[in-house]
Amino acid sequence: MSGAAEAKVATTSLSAHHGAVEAVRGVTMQVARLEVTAIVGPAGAGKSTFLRCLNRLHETKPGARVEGRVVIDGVDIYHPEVDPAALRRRIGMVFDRPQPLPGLSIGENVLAGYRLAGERAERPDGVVEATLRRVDLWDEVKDRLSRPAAVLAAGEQQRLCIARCLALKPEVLLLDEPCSGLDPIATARVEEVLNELRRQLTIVLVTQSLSQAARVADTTAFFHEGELIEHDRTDVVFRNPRDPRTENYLTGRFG
Amino acid sequence: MTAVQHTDRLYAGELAKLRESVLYMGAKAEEVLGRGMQALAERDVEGARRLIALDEQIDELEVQIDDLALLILARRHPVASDLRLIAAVLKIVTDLERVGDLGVNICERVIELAAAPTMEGQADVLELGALVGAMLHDALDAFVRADEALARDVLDRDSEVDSRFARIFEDLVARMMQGPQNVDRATRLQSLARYLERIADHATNVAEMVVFMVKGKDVRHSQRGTRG
Repeated sequence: MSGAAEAKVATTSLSAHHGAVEAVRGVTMQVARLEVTAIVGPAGAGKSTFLRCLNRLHETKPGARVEGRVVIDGVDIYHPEVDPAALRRRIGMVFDRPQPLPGLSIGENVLAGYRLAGERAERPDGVVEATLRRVDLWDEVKDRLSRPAAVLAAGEQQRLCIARCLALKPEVLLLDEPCSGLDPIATARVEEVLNELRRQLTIVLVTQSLSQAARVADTTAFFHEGELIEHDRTDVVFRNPRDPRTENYLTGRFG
Repeated sequence: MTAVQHTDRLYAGELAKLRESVLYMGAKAEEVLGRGMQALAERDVEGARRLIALDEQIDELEVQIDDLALLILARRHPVASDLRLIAAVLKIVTDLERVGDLGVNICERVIELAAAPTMEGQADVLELGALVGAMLHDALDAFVRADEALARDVLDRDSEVDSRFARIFEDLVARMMQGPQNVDRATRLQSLARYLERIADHATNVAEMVVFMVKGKDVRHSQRGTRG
């Protein structure tokens, strides 16, 4: 990739299998520190599997296997001495469907991961407020923090899930199609949060929405059949992609 | 530009219509120029008058094409080569509209010149007209075929037009100095040559946009001979 900033995450010949199926094939890619990197591509391109290799979530599935290297801040995260649970606290993940923890209030949802990690805040209310402000949810929910999270609208729930990750002060945030079920306004609010976070942590965003990648991402990577086809600054990819497969996908052509 | 098809056939149809409309507008602009030169050679005042009406059609096409391009932008959010096509079209139609206006100017001078005997320098202007007509034709051809090499060939020809224009201009100044009876006609021929030189500039602009459309490379304002 031309003009790449310093890498926070670097994969080398990364392959991931679901049983006999090789979902990710030899991907060597760098994710720049404090930038938003979008991953786009058709269904089955290996985008989500790739994402789940970056916090060692993929290996938790039966029959899953990972080859190659993932280095974060110079450390190979698949080294036997790396504790996957500790790693996942540093590398937060948000899924396509908002998943607030059932039975927990809005405030408890924010602190759930934090407490599971054994953290003890002197002023838990302070953590809740500060975190909800980062996802622009504080004003909407400050008067009903003890209500169940399920009362929130889908877009609010998704921002709550982002807040739950942020409470752990992650260095990297992985988002797997976070706006796929949201209307345009709710989507815009999530994107606004990503814009606010972009210089504070490193973000990798898998998205089916090309316009979302164009709006939000500093760089965009195109995956196809498990391979990384092209990764460049977003303005380059959307104006003048190098590879005809990228061109055809972005412009909605088939051949 | 690419052999593969758009998944959305309606979208593909809109892009095809956009290309065809630009080509049609370009053909009208070429017609004004070509028939204007013919009217000059044949001293055809009526022919020149009829051509002036063609400019209105060209103006109308500019509005229609702009409208279609904006519709596609709003509806389809084009990216990559589709985006470059739309951007190129929006600029190309402005150049073609200016060619139409210059065509009207040409016809006005042709009508005025027909009232007086033909002047010797006219043959050079006609030659220049043929050169410029070929540039415009090739620039449009390059657009339709997305032919970068042909577009660059058009760019290379602009300097020849400039130097011919300079020679014609000096030659006509010399004729004016030979006697006041030449001044009117020589001035009008100079204007014609200037219009042609400007049309060549517009053809050059079209060719530059073709290079951008095909390669994503902006070659405007580059040094002559080192474009790209």
